[in-house]
Amino acid sequence: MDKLDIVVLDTDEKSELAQKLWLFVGGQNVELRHRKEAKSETVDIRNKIVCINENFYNKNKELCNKINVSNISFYVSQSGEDFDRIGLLSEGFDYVVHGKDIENEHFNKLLNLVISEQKSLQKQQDKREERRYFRDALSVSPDALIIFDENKKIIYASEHYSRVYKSFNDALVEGLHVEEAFALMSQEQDVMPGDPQYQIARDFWYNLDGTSEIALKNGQTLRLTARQLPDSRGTAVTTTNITEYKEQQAVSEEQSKKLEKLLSAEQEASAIQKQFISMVSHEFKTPLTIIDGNAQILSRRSDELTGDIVEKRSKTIRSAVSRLINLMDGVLSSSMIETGNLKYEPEEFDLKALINELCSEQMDLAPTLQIHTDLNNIPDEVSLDKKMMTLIISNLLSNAVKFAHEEPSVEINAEIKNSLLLLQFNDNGIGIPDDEQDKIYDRFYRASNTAGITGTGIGLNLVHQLVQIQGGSIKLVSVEGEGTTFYLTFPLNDE
Amino acid sequence: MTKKTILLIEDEADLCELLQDELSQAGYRVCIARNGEQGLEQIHNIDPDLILCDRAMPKMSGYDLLERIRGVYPQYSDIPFIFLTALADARDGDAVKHLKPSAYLGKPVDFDLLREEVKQALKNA
Repeated sequence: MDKLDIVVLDTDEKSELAQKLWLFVGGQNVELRHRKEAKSETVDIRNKIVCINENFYNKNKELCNKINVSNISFYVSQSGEDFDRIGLLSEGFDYVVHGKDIENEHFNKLLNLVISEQKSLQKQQDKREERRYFRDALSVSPDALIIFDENKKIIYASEHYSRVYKSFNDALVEGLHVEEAFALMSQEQDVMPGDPQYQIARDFWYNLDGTSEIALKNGQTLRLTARQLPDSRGTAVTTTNITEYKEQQAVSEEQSKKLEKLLSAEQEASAIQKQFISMVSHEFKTPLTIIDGNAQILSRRSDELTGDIVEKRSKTIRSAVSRLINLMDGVLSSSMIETGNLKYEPEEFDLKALINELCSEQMDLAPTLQIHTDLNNIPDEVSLDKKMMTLIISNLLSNAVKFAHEEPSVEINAEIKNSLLLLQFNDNGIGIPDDEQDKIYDRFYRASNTAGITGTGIGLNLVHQLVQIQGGSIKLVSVEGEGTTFYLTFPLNDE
Repeated sequence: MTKKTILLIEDEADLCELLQDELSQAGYRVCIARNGEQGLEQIHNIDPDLILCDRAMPKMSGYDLLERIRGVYPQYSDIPFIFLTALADARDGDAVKHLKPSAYLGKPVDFDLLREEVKQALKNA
């Protein structure tokens, strides 16, 4: 604590009053100063003990009356018995003493009493000041603080509470029990029993222990943390607004979910790509094996070969080669579609002849294949992209063979209706499971019931795209284990 | 000396014909099945000395077939069994090792190698 100031105002150069006072207070934690003129510094004296000598008062009455108000003031009369004590007291002096009394015991006691009173007053003031700093600091803190005593009654609530809760302004907050405080808060927040947030908040305030997060109706999220004060003197509860943190957390969670999704899509695509490459390799190897095997026989048995055998072997080789070409066409067309390089080039051609040709090619490859066609209702020439139509028909035919149950059988019907070419392919194959029919046109997708049947998974995707490029449509009706019917339509140019 | 019987299981018709031709030429009696299920039936009827089987087939794959033979038919638990495969993944060979095939031949198949493997497998039986 600072030294206690005593100021003596005396016009005398060698102030007797100041010297006498010094004898009393010397050695205590007191600073004693003597001033003989009214300077600005003198006016600034505040919260001090001021002893004003009569001579100074007479010269500076106005000033002295100002000083009286904010200080503990002694008026020291030197003029004998005739001073008007009451008049001077009514002018605001706290004490009026006679100059000659300064030396006696009575004045000594009085002064000491005043000094100690002044000291304790200053202490209290310091405490109040400290408390104000403390309150101000807490009021600007982002976190709210409320303190309860050991009986769960409020000792202190930071300004946040009165800012948020009206009733904390009106109600005498200090001394309020936590359960009453909770009732006020939940009422003002309109959080009522039955609301899960009410239960969370109630549990927290009633127990005053641990940490809870509460979502308010206005979208804000608060985190409440209760901590015991030392020696179980009570509990301090801090409230932090974690809305922003929660929002950021939600955003980053969403982002990481998105990333996970992307990654798994990427992984899936890469797995599908791998499977495709392995399938393509397998698909190519089969006709290559046939070609290579026949070539081996032709070269090793050249001595004993008859014309029939050579013709038979050559035919097999040629059919394997055409199978390879079809395979390559499919893969190439599919990749050209993917890169946008396949152009629609319609031309007039005989569709009936094309279908018959592709059917007989397919029957050469699969001798057990039965095909019934009804193509009488289409014109001799249609205007479509012949290459695309070839790929579409050969893919559907080879699928019918590849995915056959027993003996493969296909029915093909074609007709013209309202300038639309309708093509219908009906097979007796293994069918497509109900829940996979919407995925069957996806690139590389292979139905779950095709295990063991080799294929690249691009066939129906290619067919679907080739139909769409020509402005047509495709739909299917399929029963697993019984077969599939594809319905294709193509717009025809009337010109 | 009686001819040894080979059961050839292959779903590709042209390949079937080709292999049958080659193996008959090499002095074996060759019976054909076009898928795993048929193959399983045939085993009982013809009592083969060796099975030559495609790895990937519809309905029942070569792997499933061999697993059945090794597990369910004690009388054929050690019959010589040769895989033919067009699969690109080299790890597939390791995946079937525990079923103890006599050989695992990649397509396109070299006929000299095929003859040699068949001969060896029959000799070891």
